[in-house]
Amino acid sequence: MTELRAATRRIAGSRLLDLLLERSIESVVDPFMGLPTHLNYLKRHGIRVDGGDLLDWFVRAGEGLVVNDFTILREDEVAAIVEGTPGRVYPVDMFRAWDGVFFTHEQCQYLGIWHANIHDLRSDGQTGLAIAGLWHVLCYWLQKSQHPDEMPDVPASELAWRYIRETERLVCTNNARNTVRRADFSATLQASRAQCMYLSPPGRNSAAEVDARIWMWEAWWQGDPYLNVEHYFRDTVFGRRTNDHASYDNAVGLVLAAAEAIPYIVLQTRPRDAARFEALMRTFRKQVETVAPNAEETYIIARR
Amino acid sequence: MTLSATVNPQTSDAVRLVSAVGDLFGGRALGFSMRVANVAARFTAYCKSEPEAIAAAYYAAALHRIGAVRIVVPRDASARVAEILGWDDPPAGAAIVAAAGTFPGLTADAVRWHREAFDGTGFPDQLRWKGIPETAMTVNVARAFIIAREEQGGTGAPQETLFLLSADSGSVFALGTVRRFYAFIAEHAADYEAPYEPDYRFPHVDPRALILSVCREIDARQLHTAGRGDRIERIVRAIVERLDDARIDSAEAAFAGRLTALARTGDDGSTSDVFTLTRLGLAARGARAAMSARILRCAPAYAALAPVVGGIEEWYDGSGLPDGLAGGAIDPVARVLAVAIAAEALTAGEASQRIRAAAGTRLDPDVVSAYLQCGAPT
Repeated sequence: MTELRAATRRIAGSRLLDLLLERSIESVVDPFMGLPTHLNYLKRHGIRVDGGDLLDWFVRAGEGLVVNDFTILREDEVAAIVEGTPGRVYPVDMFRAWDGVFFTHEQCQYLGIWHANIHDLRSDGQTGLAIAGLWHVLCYWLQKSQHPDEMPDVPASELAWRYIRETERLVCTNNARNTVRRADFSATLQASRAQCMYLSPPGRNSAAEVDARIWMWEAWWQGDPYLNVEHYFRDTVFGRRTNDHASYDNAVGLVLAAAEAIPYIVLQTRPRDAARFEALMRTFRKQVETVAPNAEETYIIARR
Repeated sequence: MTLSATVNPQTSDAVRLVSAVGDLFGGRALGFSMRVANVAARFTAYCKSEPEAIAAAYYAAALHRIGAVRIVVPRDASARVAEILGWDDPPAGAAIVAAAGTFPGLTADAVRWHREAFDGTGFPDQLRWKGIPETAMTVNVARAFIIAREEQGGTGAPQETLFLLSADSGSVFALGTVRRFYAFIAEHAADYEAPYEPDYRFPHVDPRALILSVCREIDARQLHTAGRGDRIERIVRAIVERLDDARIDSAEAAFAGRLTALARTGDDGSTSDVFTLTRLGLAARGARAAMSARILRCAPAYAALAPVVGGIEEWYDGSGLPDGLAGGAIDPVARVLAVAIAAEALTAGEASQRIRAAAGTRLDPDVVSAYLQCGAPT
């Protein structure tokens, strides 16, 4: 059993699109994209998008949701992902370390089968869609382990099938070259010529407090149940200690400084941090406005 | 913001009217959204939320289908394309609600995210877990419950419908929300969807502006009808001024002229005013006029306009639809609107001649005369 955090960042592509269209912005880069459903939304509405993250499964999912435009998963291909092929020897013990801790024995076997099947896919787009789809299964299982009587029992392969199909529906094209990369923010920003940087700054000490649903999926993708994702962040600005205001502001400031050449910055934050971020933004940009569409979301928008 | 025990009835009725428009464009039965609104408000009140949250749930649920007004699905579109276009329905609804004035709290955002799923597979934004506002989740649960009730024919105890929600517990709906909804239905099986009036006053929602904004949206669905309401209003004012009929108030007639957009509710693009002087497509136009009257009757404050807007396809000689009224039996403003609608659809070169030719059969000769006297505007 693991603790599942209730709170999560609300990153809404439709909100972002409204803000971008009001300012005639046509391209966006997000150096901390996470699972890039918001970039997928922007892409569907004609915005060119670039994304970056340090976790590989986010980037792989981005290859399915953002980069590849015409990925198709036929019925037999989905079946080849979610079911074990008869006669094939699968690494069903690969996630035995999680057996009885987070998952049941059967679930751990499926994780091993899916791990093998997904690594056999030859298309980056298909791999990305399958990773994003199967991640929902992981979340479902963890949720159900906490509330076993309140969620229906769905066979693993059926659940996987349903979620891969859900993810595949999001495939779209916008006739632009959209990119995602596994890189630190500075590399992502340097490689992009976007008109706008969208920034939802990682939380304090977020590198050390990654949600189980996030680190566990990276561990699954890497095939190492003991993987500690903290080392990914060790040499990055948010990987250092950011407990106090000064060091955290310094980390955000480094990102803002790296975005010097980008005409617009949209920084999403919470109302309680808005004043601090606005002051920080004013040290880099002269034209700064704050948009708060509701009591839980604040966007600080700066123009060069 | 001022809390009050009463709601401006005009605002409340404007919301009812607009929700009816959303129902029809969204492919639901008239009154569906108001049923959802009653359940959402009562459920929120059951959870002991603040009055503002209850009002937000009520208005968001009432207006949750209004985004469908902006979604135009091409007739030859595949199911896949139609589905993708439908994903933009909630944000479009949020934009309409946000532009209408100050609704309480998260109303517009609850409209925007009422189709998000707890597991992150909803639309438009694939928000997940607590990233979905509570009000939006409430609207979604209430909506799903009413749909399930409709599918069951509305028969049987409401508790029997709950199992349909439990199948989506933890995937579409948050576990806590489903849990509370079970308790709510168990305690309020008899009155879970009794009409609810939110205990809240809006300082900045102009009811007529809300209605007119939706009428503009309906007009804007097709390029050739965009701005139609403005043109009809101008023609109506010109005719009424020349007609000098004490029974007709110019401002009310102009408002009714804009409301004729309601006769295009649910329009798939096949309705054209170019043929309004002919019998071509009369049956469809008459049915739509009758529907617009039904929409107006949903809102008591605007019910008096039902025979006006519903009478625009009546013919002066009694051969029109939906009721076959003749001469003076047709509402005087409806007779003016009939001329204005035809004039707006015709070009300046043909309007006076064709409208003159229709006097006495399709159109009221006195109104036609006034129209011609004021220079036959188009």
